Amino acid sequence: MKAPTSTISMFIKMKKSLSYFSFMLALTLLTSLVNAQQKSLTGKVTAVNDGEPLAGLNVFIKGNTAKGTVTNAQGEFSLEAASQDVLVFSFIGMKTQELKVGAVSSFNVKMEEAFNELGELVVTGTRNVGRTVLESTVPVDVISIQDVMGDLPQIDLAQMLAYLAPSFNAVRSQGGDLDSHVDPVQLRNMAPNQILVLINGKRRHTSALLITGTAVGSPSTSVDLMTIPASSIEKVEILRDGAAAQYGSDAVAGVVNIILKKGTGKLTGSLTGGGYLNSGNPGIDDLNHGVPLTTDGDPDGFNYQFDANYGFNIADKGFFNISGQVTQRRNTLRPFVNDWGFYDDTYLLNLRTDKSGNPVITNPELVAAQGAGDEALASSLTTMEGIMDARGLEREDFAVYAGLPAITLGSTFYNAGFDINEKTTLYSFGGASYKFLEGFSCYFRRPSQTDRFNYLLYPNGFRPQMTSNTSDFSNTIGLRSKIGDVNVDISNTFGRNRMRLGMVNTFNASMGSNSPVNMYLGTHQFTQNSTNLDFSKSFPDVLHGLSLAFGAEMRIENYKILKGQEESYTYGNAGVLTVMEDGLLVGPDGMPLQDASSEPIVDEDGAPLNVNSGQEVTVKSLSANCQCFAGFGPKNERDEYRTTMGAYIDAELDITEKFLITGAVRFENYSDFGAVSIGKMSMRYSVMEKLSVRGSIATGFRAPSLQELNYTHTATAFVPDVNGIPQPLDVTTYPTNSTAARVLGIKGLKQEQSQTYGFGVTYQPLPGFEVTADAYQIDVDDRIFRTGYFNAGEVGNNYDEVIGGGEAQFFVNGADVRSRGIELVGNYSLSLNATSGLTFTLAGILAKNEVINRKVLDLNVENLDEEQLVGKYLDRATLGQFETGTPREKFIASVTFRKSKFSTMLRSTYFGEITERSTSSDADGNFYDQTFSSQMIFDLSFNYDLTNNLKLSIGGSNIFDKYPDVLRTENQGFYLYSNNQQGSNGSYYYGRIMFNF
Amino acid sequence: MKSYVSMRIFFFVIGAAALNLLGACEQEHFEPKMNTLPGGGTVTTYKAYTLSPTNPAGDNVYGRVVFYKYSSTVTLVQMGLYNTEPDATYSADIFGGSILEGATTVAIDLDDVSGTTGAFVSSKYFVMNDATFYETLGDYDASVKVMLGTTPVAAGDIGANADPVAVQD
Repeated sequence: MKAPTSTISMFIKMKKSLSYFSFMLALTLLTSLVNAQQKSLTGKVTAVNDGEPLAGLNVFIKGNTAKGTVTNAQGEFSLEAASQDVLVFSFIGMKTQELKVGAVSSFNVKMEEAFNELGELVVTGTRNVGRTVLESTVPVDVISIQDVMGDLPQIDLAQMLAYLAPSFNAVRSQGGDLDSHVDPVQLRNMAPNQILVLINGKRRHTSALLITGTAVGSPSTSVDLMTIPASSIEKVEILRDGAAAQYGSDAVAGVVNIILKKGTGKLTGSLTGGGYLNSGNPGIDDLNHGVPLTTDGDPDGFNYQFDANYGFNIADKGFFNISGQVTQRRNTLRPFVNDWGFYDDTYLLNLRTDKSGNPVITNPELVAAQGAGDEALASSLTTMEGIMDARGLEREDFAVYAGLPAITLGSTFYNAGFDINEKTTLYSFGGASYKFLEGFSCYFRRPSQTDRFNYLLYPNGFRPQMTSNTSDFSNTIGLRSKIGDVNVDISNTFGRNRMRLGMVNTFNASMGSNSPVNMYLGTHQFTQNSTNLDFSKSFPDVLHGLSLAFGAEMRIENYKILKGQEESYTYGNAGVLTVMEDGLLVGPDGMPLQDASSEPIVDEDGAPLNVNSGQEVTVKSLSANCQCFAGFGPKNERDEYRTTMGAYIDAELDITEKFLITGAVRFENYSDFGAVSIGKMSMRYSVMEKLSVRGSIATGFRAPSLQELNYTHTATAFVPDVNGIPQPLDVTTYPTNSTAARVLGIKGLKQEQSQTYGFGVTYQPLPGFEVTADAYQIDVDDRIFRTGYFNAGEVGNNYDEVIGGGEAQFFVNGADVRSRGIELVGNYSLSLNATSGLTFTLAGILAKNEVINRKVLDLNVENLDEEQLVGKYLDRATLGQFETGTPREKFIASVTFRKSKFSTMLRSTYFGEITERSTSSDADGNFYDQTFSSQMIFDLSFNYDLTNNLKLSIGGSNIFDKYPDVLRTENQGFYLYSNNQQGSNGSYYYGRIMFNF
Repeated sequence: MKSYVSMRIFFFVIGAAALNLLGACEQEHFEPKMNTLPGGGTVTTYKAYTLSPTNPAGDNVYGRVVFYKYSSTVTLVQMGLYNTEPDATYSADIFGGSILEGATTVAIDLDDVSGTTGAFVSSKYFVMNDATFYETLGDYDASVKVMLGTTPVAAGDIGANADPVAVQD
């Protein structure tokens, strides 16, 4: 047996570079090692109602899910098993069947439709052979993506889950810096970094991006689910409970486990096209006293998606399932049309000069009219309306743009397994994707903003947009085997996400006309490699069965920020004059030179300054860096590593047939901040056959991400002035190990510790009718938030020597928080006759987030009182976003009707009201807070089987074109609507054709 | 065989549709609006002449007059005076001949000058629509006078009669 061992170890070493083809080749070579001692079984599986063969159905030996197969397109399977084995036939939407092998060698199995999702086997939250949803000690939603994706308006996984599981959210940002470049996923109204995503039970790496604007108020990393094609997914299990003791850091709110397809011999795919109505939200005019705040337009946001999946059978011993997806989404555009003063007098009257005092003619139309002696026209051209008329421009041309970004995406994923012998399976899965995204990122730069204006490049202002090119790669390779009675799983999982950030329609104002207009801002990269050793063993004779599992994990993470092009982060000399000879600082007219605001630069007597030859004078204070998002420069560059060692013990004991208890203990050691020990206990008791109660108590933790520890960047924030017009403010996020943090007294980040309590009931009063109700409380100590802005004047202590004239903010363990809620899920399936049926579902979450303890501070701040300081540390906008920024109630109700080849689905989604709090207030100290009314939207789809191979689906989402409340006037800035209910896109309609061969 | 052919047709149609949809959809770009009349931007060609006070011991109004080459046909004139009386309005003209020669004939009537700003009243630049003015300025036998009522307060030669105090080609 030496040869196979060495071959296997070679495979493990090849983990990072193994290509699909070399993998297949190696698998073929390994067939020579197959040990075939048991008898061969064959069979066919069909649906009992229509006799159609069932492809992709799981067939495995009870007690060893590793030893199994899936049916091919004809519903056929072959498998080797011993006569004492029991075969388990499991398929989403069907009742699981168990058949003893005995003397039978050919099976003809008929599967009945299961009106009982509680009977689904789950693999998440347990290290042992799958239990059903009903038998689980914690709430688990099983969502068969492969069955439902064809009938849904949504085309990516995150959005599908958000409209299928009420506890799951994936807010799609309308823009603002990089916020729309990754859709952050959330569970139970907790942060995107408090959810763990697994693929086939293995940890998925997060995106490199630190998303600064999230629904819960704190910047966060998130797994980018868009990089995983939905067509590669069999089902998703959402474990709604803290599971850090089992899976390690991040599993605070829960775990999303994506199970990839294993089917072979069947090609499936779909082509989807859709778009948004873009009605402009009729009625919005009235809200602004007859002045339109936005514009309607032609339908927009068109998207096209083509996906396909196919599985190969490898010598009857394995499978290789591969999926691909190509997507193009155009942007939606929901402009905010404002009247902020696009041109000022210095522009309209040609008053501007360059750093040498030369005229900058910004209104050549005026010069032409004056030259022609047309006084009436000249007079008109000195007004904003007059110049806009002359240039054929409308207010919409100066609007702030928000909406969904434009995305071009290609992704592929594979899943493979090969039985080396009867006990050992080699498996591998992974994928690669490429995403180009262009989002709405910035305020419109108006020509009146003289410090960021250049006539040659942008005579009528400009609207910078951010782009990202994201490449994502992941690969897992592992071996499942059995040594004696001990199941062994050895695996390595590698993932890397790399985002190249760029900007278009921008410039570096301080470089003047010499600035590039498209810039490379830098690259962010996150890499993660996890090596796992898992062992499990069953003791069937201990009470009613004991399962023990233990294992270890080593994880290496690396976060890199690479600098962008120099022009994106430097200060140029377009506004800096080098004096050529001693004398006065005057222009060609002999008058004092003027600053960027066209104000004369004079001494205290109003006279021109005396300057000397060679002296450098900043005549025009022009904005440095790339507008509106500074590039990452040398001082921002990072290359940080972290290693983590973890070990766990996990036990599940059936005390009686009705009473199950579980426990887990985990220890993890982090190279950068120390060690944590956590544990979990849970139980389930069957009060009667169809009624169970369950409960859990767990401690958990989340290590600060490398991004939170190391991210640093200078951004331009916009704060409303006394007239409510946003004015730019340079704000730098400093890492906690920076001088700026230390001088202020900001401490290093430590891990968030959590305590989770859950209690629930599962009940099946009638066949086909099932209800689950779960209550939870999650307490998180030392939740990481980002502070408000500190400036040198507030801090005192010569802080300007550290941060200059800008403002500073930091990541801090800002508060202890609590999230409580009740989750309800009810399903009722009714079979009307052999070919028709009705399914009703009602699922909801009632949740409450609260900050229970704000930190007492000891910062070195001279000029802020204690109340102001606490307010800075965790400002009311951030606190409000966490507590009331996401709907406390979300309900999803749907009814699906099927009759023969036709089906239709009507679904309503209710978003409870939300309240956004502001840090700005009127003169009387009334903050500009706003409560947004609750929202209800409806989705509808119609599906028809054209042939056995073709299916058509048409429908829409938000079919009644419901927009959320418009922001109050004082808060209308980048957005016109809030992101945190149904979003601002209005109704969406789609058509889809699906095929299978 | 029939199924094989129909499959091929199906894939051809699906493939063509996918390629057509995906390939024909360039992402929309929002380019900046460049709508302006030509001619705007920084003007860097000029000749500036000194205007000296006629009463240095009195009001001592002095400054410069600048001629900018805006285009091949248009010259912009700018006035910059110190020590003008606030709220007063001065007249300014180009006279034929040099100051020394008396220069009594007004050749070009310029805009009035604001005493508050020391610059032209109506607009920062006085626009001269004369195709040859700037090109021939160096040979122009002329001077500029600024007057309060009928009293000259500042004057200076331009063109052939004086060297510019500042010049840029």
